[in-house]
Amino acid sequence: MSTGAASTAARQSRKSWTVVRGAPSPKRSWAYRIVAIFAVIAGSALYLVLTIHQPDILGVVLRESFATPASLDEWVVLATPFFLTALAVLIPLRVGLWNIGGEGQFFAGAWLATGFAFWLTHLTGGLLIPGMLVAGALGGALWAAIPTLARVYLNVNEIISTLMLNVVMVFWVAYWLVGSWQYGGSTGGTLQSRIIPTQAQLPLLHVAGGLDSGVIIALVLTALVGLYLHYSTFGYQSLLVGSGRAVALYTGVRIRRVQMISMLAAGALAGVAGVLQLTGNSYQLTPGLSNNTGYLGIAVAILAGNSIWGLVVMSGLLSTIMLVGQNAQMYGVSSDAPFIVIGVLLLLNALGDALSQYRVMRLDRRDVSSEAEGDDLVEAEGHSTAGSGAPGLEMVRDALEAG
Amino acid sequence: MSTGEIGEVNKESGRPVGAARNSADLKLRVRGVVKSFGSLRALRGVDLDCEVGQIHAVLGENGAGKSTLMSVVTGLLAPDEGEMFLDGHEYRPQNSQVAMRHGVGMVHQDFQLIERLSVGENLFLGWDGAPRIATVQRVHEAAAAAIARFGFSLDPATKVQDLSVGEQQRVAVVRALVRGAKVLILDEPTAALTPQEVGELFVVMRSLASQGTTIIFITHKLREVMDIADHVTVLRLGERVASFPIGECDEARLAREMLGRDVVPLERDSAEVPEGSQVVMRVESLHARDERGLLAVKDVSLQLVSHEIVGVAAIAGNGQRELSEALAGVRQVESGRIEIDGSDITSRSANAFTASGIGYIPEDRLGAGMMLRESIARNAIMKALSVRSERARLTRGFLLRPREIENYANELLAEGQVSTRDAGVPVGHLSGGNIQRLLIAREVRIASRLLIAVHPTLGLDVGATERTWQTLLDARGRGIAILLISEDLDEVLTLSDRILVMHHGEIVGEFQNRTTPPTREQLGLLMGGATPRGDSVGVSA
Ligand SMILES: Nc1ncnc2c1ncn2[C@@H]1O[C@H](COP(=O)(O)OP(=O)(O)OP(=O)(O)O)[C@@H](O)[C@H]1O
Ligand SMILES: [Mg+2]
Repeated sequence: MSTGAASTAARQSRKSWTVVRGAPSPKRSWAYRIVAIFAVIAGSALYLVLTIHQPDILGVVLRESFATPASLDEWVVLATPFFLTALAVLIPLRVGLWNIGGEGQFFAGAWLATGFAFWLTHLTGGLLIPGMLVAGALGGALWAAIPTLARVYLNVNEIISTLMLNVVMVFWVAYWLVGSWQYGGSTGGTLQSRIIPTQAQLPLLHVAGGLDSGVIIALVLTALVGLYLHYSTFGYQSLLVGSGRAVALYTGVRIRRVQMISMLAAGALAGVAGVLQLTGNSYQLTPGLSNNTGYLGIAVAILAGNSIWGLVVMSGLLSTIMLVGQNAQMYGVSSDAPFIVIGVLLLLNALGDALSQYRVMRLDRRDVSSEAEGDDLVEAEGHSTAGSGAPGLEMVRDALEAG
Repeated sequence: MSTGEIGEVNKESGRPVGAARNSADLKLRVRGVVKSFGSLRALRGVDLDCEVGQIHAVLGENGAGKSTLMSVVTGLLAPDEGEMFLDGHEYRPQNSQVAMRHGVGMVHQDFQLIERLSVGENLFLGWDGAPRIATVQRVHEAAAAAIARFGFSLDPATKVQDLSVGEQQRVAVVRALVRGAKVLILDEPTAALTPQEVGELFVVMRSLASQGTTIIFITHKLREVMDIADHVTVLRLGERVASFPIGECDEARLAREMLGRDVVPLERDSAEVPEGSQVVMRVESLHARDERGLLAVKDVSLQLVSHEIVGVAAIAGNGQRELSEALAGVRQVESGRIEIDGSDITSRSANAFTASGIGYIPEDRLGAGMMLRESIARNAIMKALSVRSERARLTRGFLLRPREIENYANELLAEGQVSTRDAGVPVGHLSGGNIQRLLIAREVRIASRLLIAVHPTLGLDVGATERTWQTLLDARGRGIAILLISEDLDEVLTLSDRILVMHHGEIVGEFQNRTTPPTREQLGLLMGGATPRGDSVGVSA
């Protein structure tokens, strides 16, 4: 090709940025996710500074959140249930099911464990807490079993049924809290249970911030689930089921069984989250026990992008948001603020996922079709249709206009 | 626009004019295109010259880079290096829409039509030349006009899901033409078609070419190249190794250019099915329904015997797919009985069929047979975990053994001669033919009693086709029963010991291919539903 200096110069000046659409890319979507996180952090900081009229508000809140002897403890305590409630979403997602019922399963677990602690108070020391954990897992799994059976055998949409059952569970718990378990007998006005016996309370690891040993249980369970999903035959079967009906039929994997096990495991994990909150933290059953962790687990799982590592990191992130929110509350920020922040983060994340299929490239403008380049394009088209016997475009246009 | 001297620059666009040099008729010129995926160099400086109104065949082994080259031409992939010219002008599409505006259109193997919409709606969907507001009726009228203009016969109001594969393909072709395609790219268009539909497609291609459309045609069938192409370009390992007019070559030369060697003729096994053969699978009056609930397999009884290849000849849509699925445990049967080695497994899942030693090469290899986004290793064990002996090797208790799984995958890659040796690559990154090679290797490996092979050589190059046939014959030699379902009559006639003909879900004819081979005409008539003649027919119980 002989291209003169003039044409090269002309070409250079005609370079421009263009958006090109391709396949969605996990790498780019993670990049957008990280940008979204920083954007949300910056936005929150700006909001604090602009709305709370107190000198150095940012420094004060950050110091309270991160630099007191108790802050690390609080952060871990807040993160603990997220690991489990997020797993309760992530595991079913791998087999194509949405478990929105983490909140209800959390309470089902906490409720059964509370009952266990009250009824079997005299169980020899070391057995009470393990018993409560098992009871909690069972409670969560049973509560998840209802929508799962309906989904697997009757094809009832699990998104709606799991969501609805959350509400049912809240009332079920309230029924017990105004009844036989009520704090201070039937005279007390508040919805809270009696305190569970001391032998049913998890030992503290670190007294300053009330760090309980629940986090160890949560992390061990997370690691086990991670290993199980990636290195077990069951994890492989989940992959087959999650790859679509055609693949599942072709390999003969038992779809119903795999889906049921996944949902029951999810319910059990959410139930255990409830027990940990009960035995490690509040020592009594209250309607506020979950602090919405059942729902926030969905956010964690979505932000985690189907990865166990992502899940651990995002649990930490959400607990940071909640912690800063708690501390900011003392200076007049609404208690809803952390939820708003998480909502915005999810929105930006969804946007990032969509954007991840586009790339911005610097291209020669001649190839870019925009109004400004219309003449170029017409030229190319005119050239390509010249002298041909099949003017498809024009002909169809004519037909449409005539019609 | 005027053609000028070489090197003259058009003042408005700043591009050299008359760049096509002395070959003014060159529609598309590709120069030195390089495309790498990581360390793999899929295209290593490829040239391609297509004239106006030419049917240009592109040939090459699996993984030679044909589809990649076409993705570059249609803007789906950006080349790392190289230039392209359309009508002598520099051409650099960023995506397929831009390519389409320049008149370069592609018909993909899966057609990319919306099944629930009508033909007319599909033609106008996503086309920026379509009017903003139009009634369905007007769209259909305009579509009818377009279809007629290009010499097709299709009803614009029919839903795409009710069309045959050949008709759907025609819709995809018209869709490209309506958008003004002057360069039409067809990637393995004949793979999904019946021989008759291939004939019809060729008529269409000739008439389009005579109207000035340039057609780039990818196929693995050398005979099709000889039949239809004006010019052929051969790729090998991402390089153009030959390009000549069709008059200068024959099938043997094409094969040699493609493979870099001569094709080894097939070694036939001993003609007779040996005495000691046992019945592997017995099927009694099987009925099965298709997705729409219609009875697709009607009262089929057959026996599959070790050391025997049974070919099924049928026109697409006559129940052979449903039959293969039922015999592999993938499709629920309506009634009837399937026995393997004497024990009933009629209502079991595919898992049990696999465990009994049945391998299955399905028709829907990309949708059902592979998980495209997962690694080769994960795809390699899709069936093996159902087979007890393999399971013992690949797992310990309920845990997978990643090292063994990788070894297993590498063995399959070697057996299938797949172009990559890295089991960590997602299957979707392999070329179409290489995916098929992997799938065949996987299924042959677990087929200890019976192999059900549907269109096994579809998408394979000449060499791989011969190797696959040899693989089937070897399996037969080891005493494995084989059910071969294929639309390629040559394949059925070459390999089968016995041939069954299906029509409307029933078996309407049976031939002992070794002793009394049927003629193609006999088969064709029966497949088309002609009443059978007494002598050749008689379904054995
Ligand atoms: N997206 C991708 N990522 C990585 N490698 C790829 C990708 N697409 C193609 N390849 C590799 O590029 C090479 C050429 O592939 P291509 O699909 O062009 O082959 P082909 O000639 O069309 O073969 P076939 O006849 O099997 O369809 C192959 O080795 C393939 O594995
Ligand atoms: Mg290809």
